[in-house]
Amino acid sequence: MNGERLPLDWTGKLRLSLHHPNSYSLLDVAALVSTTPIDLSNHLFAPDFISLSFYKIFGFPDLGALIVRKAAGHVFDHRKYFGGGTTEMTTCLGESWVARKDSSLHARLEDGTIAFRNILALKCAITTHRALFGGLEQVSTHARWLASILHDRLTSMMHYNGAPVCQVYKSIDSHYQDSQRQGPTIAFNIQRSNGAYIGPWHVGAFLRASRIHVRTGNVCNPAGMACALGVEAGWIRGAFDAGLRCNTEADVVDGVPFGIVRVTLGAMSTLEDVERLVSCLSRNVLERRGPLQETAQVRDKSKEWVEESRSPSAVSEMTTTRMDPPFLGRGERTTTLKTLGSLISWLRRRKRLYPRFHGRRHMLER
Amino acid sequence: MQSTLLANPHSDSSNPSVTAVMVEQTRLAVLKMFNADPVHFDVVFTANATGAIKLVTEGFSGYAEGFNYCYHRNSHTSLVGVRELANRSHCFASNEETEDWLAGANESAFKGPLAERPLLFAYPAQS
Repeated sequence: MNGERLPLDWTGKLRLSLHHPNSYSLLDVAALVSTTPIDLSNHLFAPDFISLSFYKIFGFPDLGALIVRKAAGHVFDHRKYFGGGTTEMTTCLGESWVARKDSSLHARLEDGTIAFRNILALKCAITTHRALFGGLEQVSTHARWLASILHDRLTSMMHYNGAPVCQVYKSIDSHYQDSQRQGPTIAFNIQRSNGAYIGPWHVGAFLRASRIHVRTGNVCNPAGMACALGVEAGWIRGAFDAGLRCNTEADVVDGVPFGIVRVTLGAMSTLEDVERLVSCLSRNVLERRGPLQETAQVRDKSKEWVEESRSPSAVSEMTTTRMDPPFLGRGERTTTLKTLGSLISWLRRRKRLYPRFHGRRHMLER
Repeated sequence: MQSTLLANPHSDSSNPSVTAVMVEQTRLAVLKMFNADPVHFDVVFTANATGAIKLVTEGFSGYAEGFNYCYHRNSHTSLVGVRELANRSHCFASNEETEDWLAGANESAFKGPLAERPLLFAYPAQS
């Protein structure tokens, strides 16, 4: 969820524990090995099962793997299903009998045609990745350095009133210099100067408009997300019943953003990427002056639509107004408010959006 | 790919087939990446990490007595889904609870006559 790293010695502790006979460990290293190596040289303390995904390391091919500690391979003696290529002989008529392959674990477990072209690509990717980046150790150092800079930049971004722009969800035990406890991933949400959240879906949308792609939503981490946001199962079910869905436009419920923005740095990330992200966030969400002082001469499309959804600034919206972002599909409209007619229509639209700010403007409208 | 005929190793009767040799070399390269000795470890290629998790789940759900499952709160959805095939499951809410359980603390939330069934403990190395 937020790049927190958990102790790798838990698998060894489980194996040595007298309290847990007949126990096995499954370690999901998909996120870890995208930037950091694991060392299985000590098989006695290694996990029994390790799941990983190669595209997260190399970008290509789309392929995963299960690394099995052979001492735990007997678990698969209980596996019922068999697929093509995993059997020596099978009978169907008269008797249901099957002799499974026993030459190796992979011969018994790889059902059907293996992705042999992807496996060839993987072989090339392992060599190329090492030639390009010098191995995962180098990637780890590089990504940690970048993540540390990005974290500092995000946490030091403040609105005009001193309110933080980014709420970063980080475990209290970890920090970005410590690769044992933290990976190069930063999970955060964006707040306005009044503390209200801009939903992560919207943040993803304006970043995409600047050709920056980040993960938003629940990031497939249900319990980690609930803990970070401080919401309980009952609240989540209530929000679901009320129509909330992962990574959709209406993702702030009861003032709580149901989702996060997540940035992960890797082998290909550069300091320039970090600067671009920070400057795009700053351009779009940083409020530099109070609402009534602001005289923004806003030209950037993505900023203008965020203006719409944050504390309104009467002056800036009257000088240049583009209410609808083109990428929301409602068309691009630039309105310069010169005539009384357009002023009235602007006020009507504004009143619809921000009813509570319009008490004293009723006279004008009449 | 332009100079070699690659085929499903199951349908290529040459022994060993070019494809099978290439696949085995890749398997060894993966193990080497993680300093894993082929004597002690094997690599099973899957569609994705979720496919690997499902394979483990298939193994455990084949036990006649079923299995128990516990997982850390930072787990990916694909690890959480394993619980649907387990007889009993529990989500550890913190690192402390996990450590207590590993140490056999009596006050741990996940206790009971567990040894009658195999237990699978899953967590992500990085969330």
